[in-house]
Amino acid sequence: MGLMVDHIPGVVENFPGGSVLVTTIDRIINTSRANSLWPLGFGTKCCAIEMLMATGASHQDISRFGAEVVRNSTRQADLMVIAGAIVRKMAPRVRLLYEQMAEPRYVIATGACAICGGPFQYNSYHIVHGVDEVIPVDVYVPGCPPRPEAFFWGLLALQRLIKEGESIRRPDIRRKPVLAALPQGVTMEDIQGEMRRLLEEQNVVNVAESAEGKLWTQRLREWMRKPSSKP
Amino acid sequence: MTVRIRTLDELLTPPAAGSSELSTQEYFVNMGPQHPIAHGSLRLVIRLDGETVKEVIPVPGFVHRGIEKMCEKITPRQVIHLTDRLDYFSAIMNNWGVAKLVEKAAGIETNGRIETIRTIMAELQRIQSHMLWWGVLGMDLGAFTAFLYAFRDREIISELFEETIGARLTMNYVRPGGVMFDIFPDFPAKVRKLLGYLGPIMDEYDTLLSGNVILQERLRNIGVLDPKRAVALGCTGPVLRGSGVPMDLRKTAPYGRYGDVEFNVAIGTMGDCWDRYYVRMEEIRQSLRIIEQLVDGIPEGPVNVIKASARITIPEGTYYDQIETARGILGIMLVSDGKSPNPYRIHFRSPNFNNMWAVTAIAPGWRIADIISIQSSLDLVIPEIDR
Amino acid sequence: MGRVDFSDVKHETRAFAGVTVPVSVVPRFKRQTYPTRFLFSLKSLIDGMRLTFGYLVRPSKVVTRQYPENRATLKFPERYRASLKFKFDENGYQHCNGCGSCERACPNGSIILNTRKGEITGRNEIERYIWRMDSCVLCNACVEACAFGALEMSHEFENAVYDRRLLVYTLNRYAGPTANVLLKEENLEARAAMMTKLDTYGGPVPMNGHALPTVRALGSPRDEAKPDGKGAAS
Repeated sequence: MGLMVDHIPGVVENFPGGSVLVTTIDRIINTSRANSLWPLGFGTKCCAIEMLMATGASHQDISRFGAEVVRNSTRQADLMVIAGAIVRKMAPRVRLLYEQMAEPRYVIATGACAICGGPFQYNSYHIVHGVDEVIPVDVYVPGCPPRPEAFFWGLLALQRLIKEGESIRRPDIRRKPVLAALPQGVTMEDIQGEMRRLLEEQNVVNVAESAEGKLWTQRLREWMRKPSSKP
Repeated sequence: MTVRIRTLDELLTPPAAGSSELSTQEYFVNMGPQHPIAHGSLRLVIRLDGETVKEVIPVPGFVHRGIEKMCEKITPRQVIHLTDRLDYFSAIMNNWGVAKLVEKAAGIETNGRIETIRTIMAELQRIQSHMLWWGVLGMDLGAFTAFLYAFRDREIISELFEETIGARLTMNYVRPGGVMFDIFPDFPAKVRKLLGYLGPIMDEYDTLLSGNVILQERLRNIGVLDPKRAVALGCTGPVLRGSGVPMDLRKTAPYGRYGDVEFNVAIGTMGDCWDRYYVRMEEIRQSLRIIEQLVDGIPEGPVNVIKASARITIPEGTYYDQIETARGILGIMLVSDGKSPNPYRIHFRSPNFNNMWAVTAIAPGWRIADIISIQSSLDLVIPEIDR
Repeated sequence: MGRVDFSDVKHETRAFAGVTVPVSVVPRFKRQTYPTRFLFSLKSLIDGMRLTFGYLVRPSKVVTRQYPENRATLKFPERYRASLKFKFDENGYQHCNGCGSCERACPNGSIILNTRKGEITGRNEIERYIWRMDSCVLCNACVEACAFGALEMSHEFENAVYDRRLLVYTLNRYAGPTANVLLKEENLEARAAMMTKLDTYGGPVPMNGHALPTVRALGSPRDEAKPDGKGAAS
């Protein structure tokens, strides 16, 4: 089970109509992209300590994955690590930060709060139930907080997604190798029937479309269009 | 204190004659909510005249999750796991605060072993918290090396927590009537080894960062907070002690085993950033001293006086208790209606909220670059401000 | 060291709030003439550099863990909590009888327990034990609350997924009575009749309280999962 990092990205599942040249360029570009992900230094809560600080420090060295250049400006970052709870006041800002990032941009949601609201999912009036209500998320890393190794596993999953699922022919389409990354202890035999069909059906994501379809997009548009009060 | 917000009209009118010949048009700068010094999501609106800070308006609320409201729907045992997420660097101390309050309210007597384990764990966490702050302060002021050193040593304490408690950051360890896990028999030996390691490390920290002239110049005589102002703002913890007020709950109202051990309260003289910086460094040494005295004689006994799943009923009334976390005094007020197992109301008096307002008192008059030093020396954890 | 003598911590006592508090007054800066100050500053920088370069040339101090290369040898402390698991005995039978104490103890509703009346045994038994890994905070409250030792925390931390739905799954492998009840029945076929095999992701995926745009209850029509935070309750 799990995702493989032990083979060279040679077995790229080509998109229909892909030619030799395109796949070769794809492979070069995707490998380069996957191995130099610059994360955005954006953390809201406890996960930021494990995801952005501990991973960058001496014990777990994130530069082994080529992702140690933490940028504090969105315009220089490729990877947004949502570390911590996103609340309603923050949601438009997260959306804004996402839109400021240059394409291709990737999002990893770490921790229970970012995935679905976690400990605050019930009885809280101010939480956003998962950051995927605001922006499209590529990889989810559960835990509260996940340990740095779990984050690295998520990063490897993202690298695999970039290496296998992207093509310069359709840059907005992202093919998720959904059935390749499963929770530990779960095998392919466990996914049967409808679940399997759904996962396979929905593993191709149009990122641009999916970003537009988020709930908070409309709200942000309204929020930004609001005329400033004239003196 | 009040925050005066002016209209754009007022801002655009030239300053009245005689105020200063050098004053230029004032303008606002936003720091945050996504800013490296925010240590989370705090927005500081800074009114500037040239490079001089005229006013700082903190805008909190970007991580407000409604924890106080949520506590009304869950039992005191479950409240513990939410306090982990207030100030996650002082998770054990926050846990302990609620546990202490519930024990006081429900009349649960703990034993020496429980209190000793809690004290040792809390002090370990205080060291861990201050270490992280030390590293991040270095990083804020442009010295990345300190961050690597701090995390190298912080990880050793994390491993100890992981082995005893099973979690690295949000422990959920101290609960009403005991602690979740007993310590392993080799725990004292490991802690002693850790103490032997951390003692010399502190001198290394002094050589690396405290002795560095660049850091000293950025902290010395910057952001002076005088004691009266600090008390008036409700600052607690190292921020207040840096101003020279020896206010420490561990001494003035001892809880746990703090009454039995000898330690000094680190205080500053002037209340500038350097005092706040070195007070924390000294606190690490004092915490090592506390652990050293306690670790050898952990009394025998059960680590739980009530069952984990026992229903705790709190009699009707209003209760208050406070605890000294790594950042100051965390006060917890609990109102119980006596019928439901859930609290009727819980309020947290968070140390960071009051410490945050110190920036409004300190910063005016200093340069914008000094905001970084001031903000770092206050050591704010934003999720606790917002709750 | 720079212009601060770090050993110069004054130990005094102060009266405060009716208590005599022993205090350590932190060291302050000493006045220096310009040339000494310059030399001290230079020395402070060199001291720091020497320390850093000292670590550079001492390879015995390497602390970095080579994950994922060390996956095979990676060991965690026994108590480390990364995911929730059912305990199964050597026959693969579970100990959970569906009493629901874990569900009540869970602070954020990450455990959803469906029980049924056993057709053969006639008593309450577990049908589906749904654990939401996406929202679980691994606080250990469920394991503590369980009086039958049916649950345990495990070290399986490599749970990154591309799709959130994979994080909501069923812990029990079969719907049926506990190991005690099953072992009383000698006949293996009769035992098998009491149990219904389950798969990890079958059945409804309950997202109580709110449904999310990407997550909907399996088997429910697509438009039932309304993105406004309501609907699709189990």
